[in-house]
Amino acid sequence: MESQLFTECHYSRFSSGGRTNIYGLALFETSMESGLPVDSEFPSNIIKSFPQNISHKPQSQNKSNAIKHLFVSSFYGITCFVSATGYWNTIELPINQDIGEIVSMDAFPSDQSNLIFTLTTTEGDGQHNFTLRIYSLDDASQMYMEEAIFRIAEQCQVIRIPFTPMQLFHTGININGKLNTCLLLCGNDGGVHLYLRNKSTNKWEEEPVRSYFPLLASLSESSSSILSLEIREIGDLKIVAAGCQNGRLYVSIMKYDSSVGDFVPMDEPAFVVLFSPITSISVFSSSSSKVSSGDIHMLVTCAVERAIIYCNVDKVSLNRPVYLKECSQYDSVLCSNIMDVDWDGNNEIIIGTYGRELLVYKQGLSFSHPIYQIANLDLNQDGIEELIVATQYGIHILQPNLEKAKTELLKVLEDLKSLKNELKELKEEQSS
Amino acid sequence: MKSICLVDKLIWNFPGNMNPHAFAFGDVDNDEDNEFVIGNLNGELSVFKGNPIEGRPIMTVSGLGTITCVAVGDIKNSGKNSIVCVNAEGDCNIFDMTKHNSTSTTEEENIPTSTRRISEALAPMIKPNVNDYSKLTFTVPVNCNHILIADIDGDGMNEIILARTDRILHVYSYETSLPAEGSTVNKPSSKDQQNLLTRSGNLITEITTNRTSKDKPNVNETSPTLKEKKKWFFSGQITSLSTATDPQTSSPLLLVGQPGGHFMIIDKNENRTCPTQTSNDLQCPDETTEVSTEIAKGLKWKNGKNSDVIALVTMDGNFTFFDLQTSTMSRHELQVTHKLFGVAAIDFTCDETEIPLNERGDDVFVACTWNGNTYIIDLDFNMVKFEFEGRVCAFAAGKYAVTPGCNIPCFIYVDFEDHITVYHNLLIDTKPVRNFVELMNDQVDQQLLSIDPCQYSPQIADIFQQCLYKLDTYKATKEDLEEKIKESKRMKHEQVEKAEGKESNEEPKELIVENEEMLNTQHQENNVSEEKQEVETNQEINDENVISATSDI
Repeated sequence: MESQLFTECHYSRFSSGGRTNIYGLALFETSMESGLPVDSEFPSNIIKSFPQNISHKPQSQNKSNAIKHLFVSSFYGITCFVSATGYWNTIELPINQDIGEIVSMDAFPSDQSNLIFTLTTTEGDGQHNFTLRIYSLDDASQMYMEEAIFRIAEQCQVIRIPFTPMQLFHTGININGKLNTCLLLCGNDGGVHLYLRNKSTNKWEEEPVRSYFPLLASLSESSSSILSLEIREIGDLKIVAAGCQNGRLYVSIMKYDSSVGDFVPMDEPAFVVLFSPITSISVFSSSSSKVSSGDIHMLVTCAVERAIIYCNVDKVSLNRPVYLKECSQYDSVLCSNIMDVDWDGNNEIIIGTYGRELLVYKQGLSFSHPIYQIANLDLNQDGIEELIVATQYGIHILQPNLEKAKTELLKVLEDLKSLKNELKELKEEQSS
Repeated sequence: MKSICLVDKLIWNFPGNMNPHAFAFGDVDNDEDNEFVIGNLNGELSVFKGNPIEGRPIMTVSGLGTITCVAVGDIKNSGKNSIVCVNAEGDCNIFDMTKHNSTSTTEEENIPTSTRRISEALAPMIKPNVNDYSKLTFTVPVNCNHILIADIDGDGMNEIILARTDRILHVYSYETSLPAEGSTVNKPSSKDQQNLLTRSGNLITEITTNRTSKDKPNVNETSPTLKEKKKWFFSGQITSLSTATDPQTSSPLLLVGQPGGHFMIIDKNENRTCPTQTSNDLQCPDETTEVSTEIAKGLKWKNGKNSDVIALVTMDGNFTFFDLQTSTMSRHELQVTHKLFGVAAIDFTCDETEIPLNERGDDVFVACTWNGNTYIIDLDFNMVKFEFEGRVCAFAAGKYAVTPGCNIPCFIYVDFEDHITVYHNLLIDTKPVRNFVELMNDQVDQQLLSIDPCQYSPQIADIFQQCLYKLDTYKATKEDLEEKIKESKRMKHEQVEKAEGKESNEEPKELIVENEEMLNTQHQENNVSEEKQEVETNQEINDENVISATSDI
């Protein structure tokens, strides 16, 4: 127990046998906080209808820091985990029935809306009957998160799509010098479809992707399903990567050009062909710091082979692959995540497999069902990031070794204290 | 309530429907590893040992009638355990494993007949290896559904306690011959007793042959008998049996579950008490409609000593803990949609000897519903739920040796599809979800006096996060401090140089003022650039106050 990096603190099973998939998890960053107190049944309490005891947020309250909440989709519903101070609240999102099965999901705020929630669904009649559903909630800054979740289900824009949807993704793009949030949807037609909200009609409309992401526009020629997409801004770089069903992996590095006021591609996009479908791509920095420039690497997982880290992808593109050992022993690798699990300032890689094994750099953890998604956030707002593992039928919430965290934190505080004392002594010496 | 997922499991094959009490954990082959014994309504009794090949039992005996209850214990008082298997028809079969039965050849042969039925026509029927056990059959009353092996009268000898469905409790002792009245009253020294019983045990042990001995009456002058020692009548249905130790006299107590969340204590002198009844009337309720109650005894540890806590669990979800030492009760109602059963106490520490007595944890209690919801509840009513996928015919929680040499806690589910699922490596923590801020409370108030330790503050969590994940504001603060130290050192150096150069005393003072101003402006710049909360050094407060959080917006 002592040496374990993580211990499971709760398992929340989807109700009525729902299942998730590799597109079923989203972290939502907002200033909206929880407005409900801790329930006596926590953590197994589930809120299914609008909570009557929730009030409107007092106007005077300051906007607090960005808080992360968690959304996980199963075939027939969405489970929301609203983080709160010392606990979290679980909500089963009331979405209208008859929308069919959920394929993929994303949740994010934009410049116009406090909460945008998108789903792709399929009506199960075997036909290509797919829809993209966009729920958005404006003027919710004075709402508590729970209220916002129940309010958002009220309005929905439905867009019929003529292809099989894959991953839903959102990213910021620059339009006439202003930052806009766009929605990207990968499809089996080999294309990445870009949707933007029309400011006058408030409707989401498809726009050509070429003007913003030339790499993604060129992919439709390969006509292979795009399974995974990653767009990440680190410093003045923007890395765009896409992985296909047929194993093709594309990457394009863009750099911010102040004369243009936007990111421009540095070189021609690079690509390699792997042997199996690409299940996930994560671009990450070796350091957990957001500003200091650690090395930028790209982790790619695929269905059959070992996971690959393309080291220094920003400098040498796809030319320096490093293969992760052991991870192919447990069936397909479906997902990956990057977090600092031991607070040493360096990020670690976490791999989730269909073979139910979670590999946290060197520690392994077994689960009872295939692992589809991994994420990390501070769900109970105690300063420690929980690890979220979505397996086929439910969500596992794991806490890092808190005793280790305690030791580590005391060490850091002691460090600061000694620096502080040293400074004080020096000052006293000088003033005497 | 926390809910968990269990991963490590074994799947065994065992056919047929069964009475939910017809199983037992115990060391049947006397090698100190616990086996699992289970009997079904078709008269098949199987013993599972370790992690068996293809999930097969190491021993199966068939033709034992409608098995209603099974127990493992030293019924012959010989220092060796026997299996006691009672059926509804009134047969009590006692089995002794005569040698270790772990060779692969015998394992191959021991398949419960029901699972073999399909292949029977093709392959010749394989007989169980009869030389591996001896069997004795006694006649007991019909319709017994609970069994317990324990010494309940404090004579150092184990008894068999059998509860009948018609509210009668029988106590039997195993007698090898008709002893003189004095021999059981005068307690012989344990060594003498052991020798006597082992010798006589050897004399009478009957090795069964391929013919089933069930048809032959084996009670005659030279054969052992089951002697009825006691017979008690109860007003309520007997729903469960357990034992405990009297906290005052350390003598044994028999606990009998009664309907409606009650139980009766019978001490060694046959005095009956019903501590859960509030009235002075010691009669238990005679309303037979009241809900069935299961009881389990668990250990509570305090200062290296243990005392007994009795859990009373009614089918409809009422948990009552009765502390025998203090005679106090605590209750908790659990919302369940299906009937609760299979109550057991379990200790999640794998090897008891490794943990010093004063650090031992209390036992936790486990109960299961027919639809597979399993509740693990500790003495503070903290609860953890596990959902077994499938309908449950019988649930057992106890210690079993999955690998030789280590009896570990296991949850065993018998389903209606001829399988037994055994979950092991149960790392279950019943304590509520932990919170790092609370964990750091006692540590923090020494270091961060400026923050009220009792109050949960998102600011504290923010500081923790900054420090632990070495985030940018933390880094900026640290670099800032280091910079200041460097600066101060440089100042000091200059000061020394100037002092050596015999400069006037006023100049250094000006320098300090300058230095302070410079630091302040530097700090403000930092604050402006960092729009987030910042871990800021507070230079005025005493050295105990290392850092305090201030919002700079």
